[in-house]
Amino acid sequence: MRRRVALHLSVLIVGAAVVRVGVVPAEVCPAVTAADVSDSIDATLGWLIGGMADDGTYTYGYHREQDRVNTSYNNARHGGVTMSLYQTFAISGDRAVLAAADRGLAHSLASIVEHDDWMAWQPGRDIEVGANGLLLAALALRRAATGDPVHDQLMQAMGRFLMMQQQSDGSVFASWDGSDQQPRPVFGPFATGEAAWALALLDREFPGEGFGEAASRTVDYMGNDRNLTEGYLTSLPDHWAAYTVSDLDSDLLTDDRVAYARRLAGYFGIRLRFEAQRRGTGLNLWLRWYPGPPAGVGTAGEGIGALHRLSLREPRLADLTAQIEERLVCTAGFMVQRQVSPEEASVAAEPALQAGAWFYRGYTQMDGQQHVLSALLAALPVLQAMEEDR
Amino acid sequence: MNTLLAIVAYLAALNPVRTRLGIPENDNGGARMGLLGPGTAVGVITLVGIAAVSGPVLDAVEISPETFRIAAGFVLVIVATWMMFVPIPASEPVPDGVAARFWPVAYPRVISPETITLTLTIGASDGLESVLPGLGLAAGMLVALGPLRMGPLTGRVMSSLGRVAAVILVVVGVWLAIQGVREV
Repeated sequence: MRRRVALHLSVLIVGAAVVRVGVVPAEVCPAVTAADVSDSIDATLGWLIGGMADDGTYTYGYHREQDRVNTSYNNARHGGVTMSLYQTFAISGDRAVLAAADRGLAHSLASIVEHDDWMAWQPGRDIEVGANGLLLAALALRRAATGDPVHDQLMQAMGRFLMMQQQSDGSVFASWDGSDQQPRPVFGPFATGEAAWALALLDREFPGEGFGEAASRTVDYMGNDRNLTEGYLTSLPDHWAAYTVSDLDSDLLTDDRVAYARRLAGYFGIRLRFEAQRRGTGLNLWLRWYPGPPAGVGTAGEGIGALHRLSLREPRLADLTAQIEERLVCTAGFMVQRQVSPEEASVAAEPALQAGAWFYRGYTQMDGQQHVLSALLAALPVLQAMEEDR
Repeated sequence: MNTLLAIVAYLAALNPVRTRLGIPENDNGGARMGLLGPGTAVGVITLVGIAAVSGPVLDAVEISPETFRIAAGFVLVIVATWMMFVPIPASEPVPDGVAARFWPVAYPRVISPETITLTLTIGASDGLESVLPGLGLAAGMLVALGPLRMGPLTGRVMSSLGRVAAVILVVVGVWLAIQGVREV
């Protein structure tokens, strides 16, 4: 009989070990405080702002092992970083951050073009909708934080450009062809959400001009039709879509859109839970691979952060608030831990290109800093509220 | 998981008709109630204890309840597949004395990988109140099937019903895993 008992117990123990190692490794959420997150934000601002060139561009990327700066550039990412800097100013009120964001903005404003009744940022031959969406989001955040109306006319004209790119089903063509002088019928994975979010933010600044309804149409498209139309096998965990739903006027939050927000929270939730399981060493490396690219982790963090704001004001999502906060705090914990601290960077070849950055397999890029920065900005008030409650 | 789904899940996981086929019998073909009653009670009490500490247990091993649902689904599907191919549990030797209250009814028939994982996941996510009805009903059904005399026809019917429950357990497992992925 002992052999039978031993056999059953062995199967139980071995099975539990396999499940533990292979299916549910520990989700490690390092302890983190609001002060830690503030320091982390300051450090990454140091990387972004400290690396700005005179023309208002940011350092694009850096290879740590080769001590080599990546000199290529990406306009959508430029718009994204500028937008994140305005997000930072909105929370911190730090005028130095506003000044840096304005320098980044000035770089883009130098390439604004006017066509018919619309305007757009056209740094190259074509006009990229994603870059314009993020630039317009940056302008809207700037206006909301400063009350400065200086760019109002431009913002409305850029909104009209995005609406021109929008199709009747809510989809958004990702590019305007400079040669043919018309929208090019191509989609981008993120341009759609970037345009929709810009329109939702524009509606907040200029209500009653149809921008919110336009954003809603694209939310419906992203939530219902995009996968089929654009050929995605799985739903896109689109953080820009999360921002859009979160910033829609309450009157536009239909049950269907709220249900989409709930689904998005689920995508970000599993992404961040999975990320917390990653150690990048030993057997875990083979089962979970390296800790994810900072831009990927950051987008999930800022997406769920946007939905946190929505869950606080939308009763139909109130049941998600506690879980979302858990994910946000956990994400802040492991991302603060993964960041290169100023002390670690001080012994590196180029401390300024490492301090405050997040690297993925020896490489860091501006959008990595941008997305994690936005995620940490979303986690900060949650941590502050938790600390006040204690 | 609402209470109705938890009941279905426990009926499929404890699988009273299949489990009854693995209970030691007396000469007339009925289960040895002196083993079945106490063994089931010990098993249920242990599982209730597991449910009561499920949250702290998952906390201690740093697994969120949402992620553990994925693991539970994985375990249930594997066990259910085993149940489909092995519809009658192996007969186990019966010890003398007090040990017979724990083996083989309490463990491994009532306390098993599938009931442990199900109890941990329901207990951690939905609390004891969602565990008790399903666990109580499934255990009660097992005890109620005790006096049933096992003839060739009864055995065939029971093993077929056990397979049906195993199919339901696959569905429960897949559903749990999907829930674990979709939840925040």
